[in-house]
Amino acid sequence: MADEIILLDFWPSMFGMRVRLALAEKGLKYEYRQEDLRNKSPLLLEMNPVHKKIPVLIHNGKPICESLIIVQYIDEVWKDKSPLLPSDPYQRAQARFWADYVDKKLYELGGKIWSTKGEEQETGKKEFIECLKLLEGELGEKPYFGGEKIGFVDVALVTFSCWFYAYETFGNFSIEAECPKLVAWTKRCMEKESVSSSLEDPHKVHGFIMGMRKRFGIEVRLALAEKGLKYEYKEEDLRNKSPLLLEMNPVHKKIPVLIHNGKPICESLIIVQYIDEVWHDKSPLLPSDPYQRAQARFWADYVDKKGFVQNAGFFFTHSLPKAPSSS
Amino acid sequence: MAEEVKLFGTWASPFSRRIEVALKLKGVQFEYIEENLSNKSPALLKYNPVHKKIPVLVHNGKPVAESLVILEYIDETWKHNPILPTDPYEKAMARFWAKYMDDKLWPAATKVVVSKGEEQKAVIEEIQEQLKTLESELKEKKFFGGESLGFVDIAANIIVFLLVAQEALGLMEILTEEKFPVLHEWYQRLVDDAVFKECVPPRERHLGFFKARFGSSTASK
Repeated sequence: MADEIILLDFWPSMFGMRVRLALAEKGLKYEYRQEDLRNKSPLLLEMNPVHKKIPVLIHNGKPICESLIIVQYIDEVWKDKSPLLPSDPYQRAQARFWADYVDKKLYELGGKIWSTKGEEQETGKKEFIECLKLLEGELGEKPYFGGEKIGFVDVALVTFSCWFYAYETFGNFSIEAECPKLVAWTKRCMEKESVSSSLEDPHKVHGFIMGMRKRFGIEVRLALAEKGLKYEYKEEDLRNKSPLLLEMNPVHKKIPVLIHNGKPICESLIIVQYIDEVWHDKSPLLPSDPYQRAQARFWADYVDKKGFVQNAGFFFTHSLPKAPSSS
Repeated sequence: MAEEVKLFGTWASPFSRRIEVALKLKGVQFEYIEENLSNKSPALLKYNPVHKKIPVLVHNGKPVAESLVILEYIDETWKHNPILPTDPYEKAMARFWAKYMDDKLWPAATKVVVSKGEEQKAVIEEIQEQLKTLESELKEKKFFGGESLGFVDIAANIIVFLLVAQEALGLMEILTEEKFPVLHEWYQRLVDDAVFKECVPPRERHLGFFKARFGSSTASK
């Protein structure tokens, strides 16, 4: 009897990629279903009623949730091929420890890098690099965390590597400069077909994050912070839009809207470019080279078109950057 | 140093034609490559691997894709005869309205040619609401760009395509003088502009294109 395997996922999720990677390592065929996280399918809600999150693996009708739990399940059911966890209990415990460490630290710290600025971002970057350095130490001289072959910790961590470009761009730093051995390890992993076919294009991920920043007006708040501008922040209730919002954005009636000396500017990327042009003497936000500007605009537009911004809700398991208290 | 500028486009695409307008306004020499969209050239796929679409501008070997992104690039690279205002606020407004053309007018225009009967009528009404919005934005100005053609006027070339389609498919008149006195006059000015008129698809061929593609839809007169 053939196994029926369905994976409910959302493409930028590094957690979903772990499952894809594990399935690829085991050479398993499965049906891949993309979820719209703002309009979750009945199947997702039925299969993961507790968290309502992706990834969810459905094996012969039975759901398994939480990416590391799914990877372990896959490893135990299809145990004859490419084992991911060691057989020795102590080593298994170590592998689980480090995979859990990745879970606890990397996602949240990475989030700080792309969604904050100033001191909070600097702290995020510093702690992020410290984590990677610790992991680098754990890797040691081994080709993979799993030893001679990729293992559980490799699967848990390598999927973050396609987010590195985004982190580097938003955080303005180089992960390779800080952790060369770890980056060498990511490249080694990428030589494997199972890894390269499961990870997403870093530029696509970067565009997705740009879209998320845009979607939540973060881009505008970050632009204002970057320029050191004081402003009054007004939170809108989108089910009960203020007369001011309707007056200032009569065409679309949407946020964000920047009001500068009484004049409204709408559409977040247009606002960011406006801010950059008015306060052009400090901290340029867009590159000065026209070609690079065109590239930046291209990727922002890409995210717009693909509608990924609508799925941003998933990634806000922790809070958005706080609205500024000063005005 | 010789400048090499190539434009990959198609004769019937408003997005492609926008780039021609901008390049001609700036007096930039370029090589035009007509693409066959059912058989895209390896060059196009190489220069726009993400969307595999036209237009693509290739400047000294470096590709730029997405028409509004290309227009901004052209304006920043060849700074004479600017198409965007210099004032940041005016520029923001220009970007806003150009985006409006793409986000609102274009989807409605594409819907109009494929829909029929009541649905088509509803889309036409929607378009007229949009045109009303544009009319109140234009106000007393000669062009959206002021005294001469600008970013928004170039982006508004979608209207040309809409009206040719309207004629080809025998639809009711959309941009009537009585409903849109200001916009109607602007439109005449736009299509009479020396540069702009060089960059619209040849009329008979364009009418034929719509008739062949979308013809025999029930016309609402």
